[in-house]
Amino acid sequence: MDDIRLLSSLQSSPEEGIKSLMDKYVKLVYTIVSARLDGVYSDDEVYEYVSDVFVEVYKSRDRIDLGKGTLKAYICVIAKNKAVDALRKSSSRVRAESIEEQDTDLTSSFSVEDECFDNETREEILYAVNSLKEPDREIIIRKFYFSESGKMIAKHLGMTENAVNVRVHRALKKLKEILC
Amino acid sequence: MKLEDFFDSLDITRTDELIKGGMPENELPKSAYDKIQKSVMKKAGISKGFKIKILLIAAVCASFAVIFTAFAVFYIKNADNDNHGFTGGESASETEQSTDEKNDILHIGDDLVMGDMLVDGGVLWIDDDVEDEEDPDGEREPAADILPSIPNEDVPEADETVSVDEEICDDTENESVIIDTNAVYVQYEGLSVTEKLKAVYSNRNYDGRYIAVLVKLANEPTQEFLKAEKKLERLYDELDQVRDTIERLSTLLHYGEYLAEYQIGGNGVMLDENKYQSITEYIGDLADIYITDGVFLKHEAEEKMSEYCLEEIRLEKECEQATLEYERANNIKLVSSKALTEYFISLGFSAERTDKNNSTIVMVKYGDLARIRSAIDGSFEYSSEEFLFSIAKITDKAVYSSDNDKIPTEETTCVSAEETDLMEETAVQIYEE
Repeated sequence: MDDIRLLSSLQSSPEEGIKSLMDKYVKLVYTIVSARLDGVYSDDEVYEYVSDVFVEVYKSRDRIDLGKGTLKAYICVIAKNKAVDALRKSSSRVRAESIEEQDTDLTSSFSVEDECFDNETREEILYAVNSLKEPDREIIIRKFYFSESGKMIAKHLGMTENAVNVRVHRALKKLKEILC
Repeated sequence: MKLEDFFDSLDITRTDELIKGGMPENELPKSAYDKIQKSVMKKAGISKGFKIKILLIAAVCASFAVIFTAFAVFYIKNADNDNHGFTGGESASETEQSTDEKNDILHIGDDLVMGDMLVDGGVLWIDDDVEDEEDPDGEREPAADILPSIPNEDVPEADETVSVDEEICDDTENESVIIDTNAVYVQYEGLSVTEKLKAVYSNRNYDGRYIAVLVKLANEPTQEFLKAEKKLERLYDELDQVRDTIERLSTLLHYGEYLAEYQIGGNGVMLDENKYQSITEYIGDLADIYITDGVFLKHEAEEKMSEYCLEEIRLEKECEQATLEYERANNIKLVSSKALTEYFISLGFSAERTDKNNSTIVMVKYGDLARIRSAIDGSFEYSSEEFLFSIAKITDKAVYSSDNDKIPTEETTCVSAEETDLMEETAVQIYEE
C-alpha cells in the first residue's frame, strides 16, 4: 500500500489504516526507538513509546504533506523525536550519556568541520553515506542515526564489537575523504 | 560538528533521501506487536473492542440506574403508606420527612458496608442494629479518612466532619471551615517531639484540596546545618533554572521542527509569523537568543541543549552530594524541604513548597493522603529526635477564600507538640487571627 492510500485509509477507516501502517513500519519505529531507549526503559515502556509514535502519526494524518517527504520519513522523524524526548525525561539518562560518551570518544576525531555543512555538503554527505557498501552503510546509520551502541550493532549484525568499531573507523575515514 | 549531530538535524526531506538507500529494521516479537497495536488502538480511541466495552459499561450503568430508581420510588411510596421498611426505632414521624431527606437516607446507604444493608420484601432499608461483621467494635477507620469527600451542603456528611464555629465563618460568606477531626493530626511512630512546633501556614490561594505537611527543625540550627542547607538550596535553585531552560529549549526544538516553513541555509528554519509568536510567548528570553529575524537557529539551540543536559547531570550529582552533607550535618536521613518535596514528587504526588521562618510546608493534593501515609510510614525512619514530622489534613476551605482579604495570615502560632489536636487548634487560631 503506498503512502497516499495509507493516509487515505487512516482518514476513512482508522482501524484498518493503523493496522496497515503498523504492518509496514512497526519494525522500523521499534528499531529507532529501542536503539535509544534500550537499557534506559523496560521493554513494555519502549513498546508504549513505539505506540505513541503511531498515535501521533494518526493524529497528524491531516497535516502530513507528502510533498515534503514520504510517510516513512515523517515516521522516522517522529520516532526519533519521541525517543529523544523520552531519553531526556529518563532519570537514567546519566547511564545513556555515559554510553554515548564512550562511543563518541571513538568518533570525535572523525567529525566534519562545521563550515562544511552548507546545503550542498549535506547532499554530499547523504550521497556519500548512501554510497557506502553494506554493511558499512547500515553500521553508520545504526551508530549515528539510531545512536545504537557498538555492542548493540554487533549483536544485530552478528559481528564482534571490535569488528564493528573497525568498520566505523574505516567508513568515517572514507566519508571524510569524500567531503574534504 | 559530529556526524550524529548532522543526522539529528535532518529534516523530513533529507531523512527521505537518507532512507532511500534502505533502513535497517530489527525483528519485533509477535507478542510485542500485539501489545503495541492494542495500545495504539486504545490511545487513538478507535478500537472496536474498546468502543464495545464503553457501550457495555454505559448499558450496565443505565440498567443499574433504572433499577435503583425503581427501588427508590417503591421505597418512597411504601414509606408514605406505612413504615414497614423501618426498624431500629424510627418513629412514624421520621417517615414523614421531605423527599430530600428520604433521598439522603438512601444516599447514606450507598456508603454503608455489607451487613448494613438488608433487603426485606423488595424494600431496601437500613438496620442500625446490625453489626458490621468486619468491624464489630466500630474501630475501623472511617471511609472519609482514607478518601475524604468534599462536604456537600445539600447532602450533609456524617459526623466525622465538624464545622468550626459560625463566628469564624461569618465573614467568609459561606466559605465555612470544615475540619475532619478523625484525621486532623497524625504523629508517626518513631518520631518524638523535643520542643514546640511552630506551625506556619501559607497565605497562598489554592483552588484545589490540599493537605499540609509540616517539617520543622525543633532545635536551633547549627552553623554546619545552615551552611549545608544554604548550599543545598542554592544548588537546587540552579538545578531548577537549568531544568526550566531545558524544558523551554526542548519545546523550541520540538516545535521548531514541525513549524518550520522552509529551511534556509544550513543553519536555520524560517518560521511562520503566527507560529513564531506562539513559540516566543512560551520560551521567553530564549527567543532572543535562538530566533533571529524569524530564523530559528536550530544547531545553536541543539548544542546549547547538550550543554544544559550535561550541566543538569552535574548539578544533580552535586545536589546528591550536598544532600548527604546536609543529612550528616543534622544526623538525619532526610529533612530538607526541597528534598522532601522532590521525594513526594518522585512518588508521583503533586507537591509545592514554601519556606517561612525556618519552617516548611509542603502542600500536596488532598486526595493523595492515603498513599502518602502508606509511603511515608515505610520510608521515614529518623534516628534523631530533633525533628518532628507531622501531617495535617485540612479541606480546601481552610486555606482558600474567594476574598483575598480574608485569607489567613502566614503568621505563626505556637502549640504544644504533645497535644494530639495540634493541627486543629492551629488552624482555628490562624483563622481567629
